[in-house]
Amino acid sequence: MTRIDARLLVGLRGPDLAASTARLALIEKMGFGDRLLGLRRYDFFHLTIEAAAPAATVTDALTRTLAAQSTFYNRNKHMYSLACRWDGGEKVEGPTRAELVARFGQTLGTRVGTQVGIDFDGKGEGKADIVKESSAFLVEVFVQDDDSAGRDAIAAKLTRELTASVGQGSVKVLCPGRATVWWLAVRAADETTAMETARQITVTRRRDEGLLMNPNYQTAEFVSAGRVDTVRS
Amino acid sequence: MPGRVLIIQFPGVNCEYESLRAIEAVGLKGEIRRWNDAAGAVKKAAAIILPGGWSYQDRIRAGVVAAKDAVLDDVMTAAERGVPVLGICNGAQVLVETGIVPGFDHGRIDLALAPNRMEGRVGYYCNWVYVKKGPARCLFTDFMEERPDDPLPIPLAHGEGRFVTASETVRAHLASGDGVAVVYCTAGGETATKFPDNPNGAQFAIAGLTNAGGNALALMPHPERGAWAFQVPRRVGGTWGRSRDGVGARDLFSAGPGRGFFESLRRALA
Repeated sequence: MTRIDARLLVGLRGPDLAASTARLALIEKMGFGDRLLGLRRYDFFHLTIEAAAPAATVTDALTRTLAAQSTFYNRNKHMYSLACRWDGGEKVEGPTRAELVARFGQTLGTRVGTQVGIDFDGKGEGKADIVKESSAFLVEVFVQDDDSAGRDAIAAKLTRELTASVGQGSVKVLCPGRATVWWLAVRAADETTAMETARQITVTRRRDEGLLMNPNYQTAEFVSAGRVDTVRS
Repeated sequence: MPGRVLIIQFPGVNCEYESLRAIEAVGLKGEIRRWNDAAGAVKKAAAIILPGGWSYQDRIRAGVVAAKDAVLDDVMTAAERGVPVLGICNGAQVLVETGIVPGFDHGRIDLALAPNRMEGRVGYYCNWVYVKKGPARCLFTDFMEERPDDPLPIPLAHGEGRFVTASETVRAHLASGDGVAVVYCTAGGETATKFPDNPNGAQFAIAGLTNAGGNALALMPHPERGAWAFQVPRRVGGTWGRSRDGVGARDLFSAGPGRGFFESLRRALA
């Protein structure tokens, strides 16, 4: 029996207006301009797959299925990063997490400290000088709704499709996690402070506290991902 | 004549003109002002309506971005002064994300309007449903006082309309009727227990939640879309369906079931 743990991140290729709105609201309406350096948003799916077929066959079928349907993404506007792991092997499709973090870092640093001149030639010399001084930490926030119906529907659909696609006995898919993931680049002296800032940004307990989740029906998991390199080269 | 009813137009709302027409139909004067040009008008308003739609395209969570706008500072102050404030659908989501309703603990966000929970389907739901008066007094539901158990047909259209709290304390308040101004019910007037009578899985079948003063109402159904007889579909049945069936062309423009919320406002402002 093959057991595969798959983690899928789906993000927009172009500008993410929801993330931009969140960033503007946090900076201009809620006063996080001195601490929030950047923000990215992904959809996250955690899938577990049990199958009689070999792992390579199942993961090939999984990537074919993902590419062919719109439950997870639309190839015209989304990119995805899929990491599958099983006993004795792994397969990564799309950019690795480290590559995504590096790309994210390259977008940061334009709002820190002193005023930066408008950069018409695209070189952004001033930005590099400024971001070198910043101490930024990446905090991943997984926001999950209280409703499991969507996860069950995804799992049932994938179970049907993979069983048909693999063609070597049944395949059982579960979807134990489905969340919106916010990557927050937080300016802070240390990791503990960064995590605390991420909590303040996220959890809406009062009108002037938090934006990204309402604890009356959502849960949030905070994962510290260490320093993020914000220096443009 | 009371002062003007202010309708605040956030980017992305789409019911401001219908709300204005409903206000004018009961003899009140109203004006629509954009969210970034409304601060002065809020201070002078006789009443405030936050209309339905998708403020800020429902990005992040329905109503939450508008709730952080500076104009809501003034709306909160007005609500505390006793100025009538009606949030319809997206407006209700803004009121909940602001903490104006239910306001059990000043400034705390006691509830959410979470994605609908419906048997056999997910997402957006648009239909006519029945509501009746809840135990809490509210100036907008004054018209229901005489017949509190009479089911009132009313349209709704939303993807995130499930009133829900994670707090045991708040749940206890709601269970005892605090703040519960309007509830979903069956065509026979029984409190709704399941879909489709309870169209979104709201706790305690809440359709409308008010504050302690009874002057602010977060209402998920759309009374302005049922404020004229011609808007009532024949399939609704009951008194309103029969009267819709029987009216001539001229009477199509007589009052519909949603008009009462605005009539109640007019009486409160008189």
